[in-house]
Amino acid sequence: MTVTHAQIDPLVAEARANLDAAADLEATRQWYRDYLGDHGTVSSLTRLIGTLPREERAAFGQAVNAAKAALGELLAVKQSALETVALNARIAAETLDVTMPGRLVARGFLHPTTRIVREICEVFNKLGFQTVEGPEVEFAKYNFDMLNIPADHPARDVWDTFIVDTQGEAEIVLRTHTSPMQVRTMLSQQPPVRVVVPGRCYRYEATDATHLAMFYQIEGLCVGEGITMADLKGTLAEFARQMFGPGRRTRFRCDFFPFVEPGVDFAVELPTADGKGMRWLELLGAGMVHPHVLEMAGYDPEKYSGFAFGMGPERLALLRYGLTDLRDFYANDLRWLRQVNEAWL
Amino acid sequence: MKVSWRWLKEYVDTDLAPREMARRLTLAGLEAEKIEEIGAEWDRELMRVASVTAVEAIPGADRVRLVKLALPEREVTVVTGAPNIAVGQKIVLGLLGAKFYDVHTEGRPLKTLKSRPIMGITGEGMVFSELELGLSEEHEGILVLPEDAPAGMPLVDYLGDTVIEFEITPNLVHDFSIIGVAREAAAVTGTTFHDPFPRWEATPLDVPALPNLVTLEASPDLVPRFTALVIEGVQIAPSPQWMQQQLIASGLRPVNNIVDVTNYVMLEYGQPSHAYDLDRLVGRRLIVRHAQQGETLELINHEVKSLTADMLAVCDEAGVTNVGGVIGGTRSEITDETHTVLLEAANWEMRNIRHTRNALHVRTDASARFERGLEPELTMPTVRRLAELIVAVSPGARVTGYCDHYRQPRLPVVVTLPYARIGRLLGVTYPVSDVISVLTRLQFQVANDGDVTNPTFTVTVPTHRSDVSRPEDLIEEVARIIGYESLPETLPTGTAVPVMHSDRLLTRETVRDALVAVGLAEVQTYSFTSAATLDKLATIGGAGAADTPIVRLINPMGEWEGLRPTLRGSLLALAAENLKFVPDVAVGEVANVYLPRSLDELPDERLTLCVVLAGTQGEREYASAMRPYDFWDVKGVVEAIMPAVGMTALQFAATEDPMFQPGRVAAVTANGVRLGVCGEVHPRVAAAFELPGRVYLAELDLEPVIAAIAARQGTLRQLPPISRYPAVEQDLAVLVDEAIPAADVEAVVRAAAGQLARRVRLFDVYRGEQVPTGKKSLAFAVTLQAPNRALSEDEVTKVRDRIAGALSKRLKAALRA
Repeated sequence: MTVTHAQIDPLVAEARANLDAAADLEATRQWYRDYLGDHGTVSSLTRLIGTLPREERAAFGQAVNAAKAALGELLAVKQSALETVALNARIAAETLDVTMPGRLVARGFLHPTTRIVREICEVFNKLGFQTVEGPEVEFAKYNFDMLNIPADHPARDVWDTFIVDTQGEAEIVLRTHTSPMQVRTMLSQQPPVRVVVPGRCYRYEATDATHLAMFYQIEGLCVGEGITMADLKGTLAEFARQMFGPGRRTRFRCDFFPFVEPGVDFAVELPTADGKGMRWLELLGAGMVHPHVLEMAGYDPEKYSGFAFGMGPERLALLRYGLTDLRDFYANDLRWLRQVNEAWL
Repeated sequence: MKVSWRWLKEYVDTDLAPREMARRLTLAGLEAEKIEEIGAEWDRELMRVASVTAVEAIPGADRVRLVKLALPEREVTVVTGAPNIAVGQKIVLGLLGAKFYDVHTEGRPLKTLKSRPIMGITGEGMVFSELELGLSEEHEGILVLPEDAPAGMPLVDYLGDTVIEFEITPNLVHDFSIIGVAREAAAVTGTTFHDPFPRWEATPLDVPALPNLVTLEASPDLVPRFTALVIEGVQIAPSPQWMQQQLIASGLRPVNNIVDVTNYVMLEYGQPSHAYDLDRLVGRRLIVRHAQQGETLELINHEVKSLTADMLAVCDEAGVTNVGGVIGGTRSEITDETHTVLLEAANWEMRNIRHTRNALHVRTDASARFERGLEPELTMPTVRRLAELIVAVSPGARVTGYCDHYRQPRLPVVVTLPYARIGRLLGVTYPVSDVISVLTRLQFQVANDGDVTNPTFTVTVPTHRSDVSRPEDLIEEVARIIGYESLPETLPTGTAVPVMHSDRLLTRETVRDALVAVGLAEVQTYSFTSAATLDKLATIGGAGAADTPIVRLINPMGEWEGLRPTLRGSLLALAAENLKFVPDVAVGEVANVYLPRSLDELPDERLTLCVVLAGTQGEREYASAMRPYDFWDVKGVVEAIMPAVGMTALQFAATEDPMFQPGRVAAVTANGVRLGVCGEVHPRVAAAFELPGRVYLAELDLEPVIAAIAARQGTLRQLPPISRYPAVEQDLAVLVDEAIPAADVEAVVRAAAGQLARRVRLFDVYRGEQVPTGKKSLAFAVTLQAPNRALSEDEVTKVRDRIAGALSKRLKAALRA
């Protein structure tokens, strides 16, 4: 026994002391190689077994294994403690200022006209109106004559028109409204008709905050048997509430458009800019399709009636979102477009 | 049209405030655009009518005098420099504290009257000129009121007024006068209209008819009626203050008593008239005929106009003196020496008037009325009213003869209105009595067939309502007067139409969404183009403005000469403008371009996508570096967007396009159809648009895409089988001649891999060590997958060998180990 302990104990004591002194994981790994590795001093004790008397060999072997096991446990504890220290140090070193902005991801966005046109058309799609489209360059016949606006009629002055140079071959204009699609639709299909027509329109007008030479219009047409002006009022009121919120008051005011009779403009009551009062804002023109327009399109006005309406989506966007200047829509200043997009509800 | 409330109330009884009346007329279709108060600043107590009782010189002062004024309750003393003040006059007195316009300060601010001694005398107030009251520009002397002005009356009661400006839509000629608005106001509010016309019918004009005074050579279709009156013994003078005041309030400038009366009656009755100096008319008569082509006339505004044969001329024996219904000439206008006046009140056909004033570029109060279709019945009451007023404003004047050519008197329009039709169109049923009452108030004559519950009305339309000819017109009258708030809100009934979107709409909106998904800003730019833009695009020998057929406008706006045949110019200009403010421009537009067809056809409107990338991608940020855009970005955008509309197999091939840098432009095709190009904009083109740095652009025609989607209509689209077995990824490095395009190598790899090739994508290009000069090494990631089994190592090796064999045979290329 004495021989055994004399061989082992001082070595274990030295190993313990050195393990305690190890400052980092690398030092513990070196310590392992020094004592417990294949050529480590503790492991090497087993080589002494052969030199011992036969009866002592078993006890010595057990003692060496016990010492190795005990040191192994100590190493595990020491390494775990050092790992915790190292991890804590890394965590402490890696603290981020999480208030810094995230990495930029390229964000695309739709043009506000696209958005408002979609919003408006979707409301009418849900009400059973199909979206259809027509040519932007149009025969004067469809843009004017068949809408009850004959040549040299003062009503034509309302629409300052871009005229296409056809060298007298045909009367072709840039459509001043989407209304010619009323005519095209009725010429191409039989009632019932329920369509909305979005698209670009053009007027020869000096551009200012409320007028553009190019703008969008959305036309609506509903023709069938027994369609009434009350239906028009109900349809538009539903539209106004979906666009501007429930409970909005709406009203009709008598107005003149050559292709409807009776003709009205449709207004919604909205808060004033300062939020203190309410005011009526005209959204669109509307009316019952003029019997002469029905006749010209080949519909029997004794059998069918219908309503039509037309609105400027950019203007609606001004009212809906509190924008102030129509010119911004097609100036395409990316800073403005991005801001509008980010604020859009 | 400006309407004086004071004037209006001569013809309609109402207790309503002007603003409330304006609101109700607006709802009924006569829109009040502006309401202006005259005398809003006049305090009732401080600004009064007073009589002048004494005017005394002040010792030592030669410019100012002491004036004593009487109010009913007391006498007031003021000091004034007014040269025209005299005892017995009625004037406007402002007491201390009254507000007036300070004529001697720039901008004429409103000022409060304070006590200030003049020549040692402190007056108790001030007497005012029209300018100081804000009534007109007159400041020669103080305003002298008519003798019957009641002393003591608050000025606001005597001269104050509200002026409502109405918009007269093309259908509202019957509201284009004081009488018309009064008639409408009475009908809308259910009060009494004092119709002036029955008075003229009751008293025949008792002067000789002079049929030769006017000769009508033009067709009665163009000149339905011509009425004229001769008045002798006229003295030209300023018109009375009340008339001038009314004209100013209505926006017209007073001239002299005769011209003022013609304007006054035009405003009042709606019928324009013209006064000629009869002594200056050669032959002392008028001839109405078509103008001779090229005949010239000096207008009253001294412009000389050349007339055309479709215009109507009012002439004397020496030639044209007026353009009928539009504007007068200088040759026969009233002068200070005029003694005998010929008054014309004619009716001119509306379309010809509109055509004439458009051709001459003149718009007058007369043409604005005639072009809306005035009724011929108005001319006779108008000349009677003119005569009445001229005799009143020019004592001694007398009517000596008249002439009235009315060759085809218009028959009243009669409309049959079944009562049931009202409810059928409006969706609401009004009582029969209400319908009759409304129409009667509007001066329609309504005959009832006697059916109590479902009558048919026979309605005679009054001559002033040329806008009413159909039952629907009458239904609108009923609805607007009863009020649209009476309509219920319902939704359309009947068969619903299926809501389906067209292929065009779906394509356009899907591509827009795809632009957004790849991080681009969708823009919408004007559809117009200019020669300058087309020339810039053609900087390097392409077709410039001169060689590019466009849809051209007869009336260009500024440099916008026509519609754009390409989106390129719009987006390059947009990029240049935005790069001044932001470093990163990545934009796309989906819009029509317009290609002319034959002249009598509508142009080809082709839906087109254009993408522009310019500047540096991203922004300055701590977390990543900015880098300039390059060719691969724009190609990547095209590759990412087009699958959204079913274009999964695009081919890119080197091509030439003068707008792009040679060697950096690809033609984009799908299924053999060319869609467009993408590439780097030629440096000279970029410079022409003042674009700094490199710019990348793609423009694709979307019409073939729409056609392809339409062609698939009716076929049930199903997905290819999706394999549940593992995929094997193999990297292949191919050593190949520089000249062979990567796409050719990829095609060979793909073909050799056959059915198992799920994906083949180039991921690296290497030149240098171990690669001989004139060759390049292309590294492809090849994903192999079978639909029904996991691939064995053996199979993968076979595919690899097959690829190697094909590359060697087809392209003399080798797989690197």
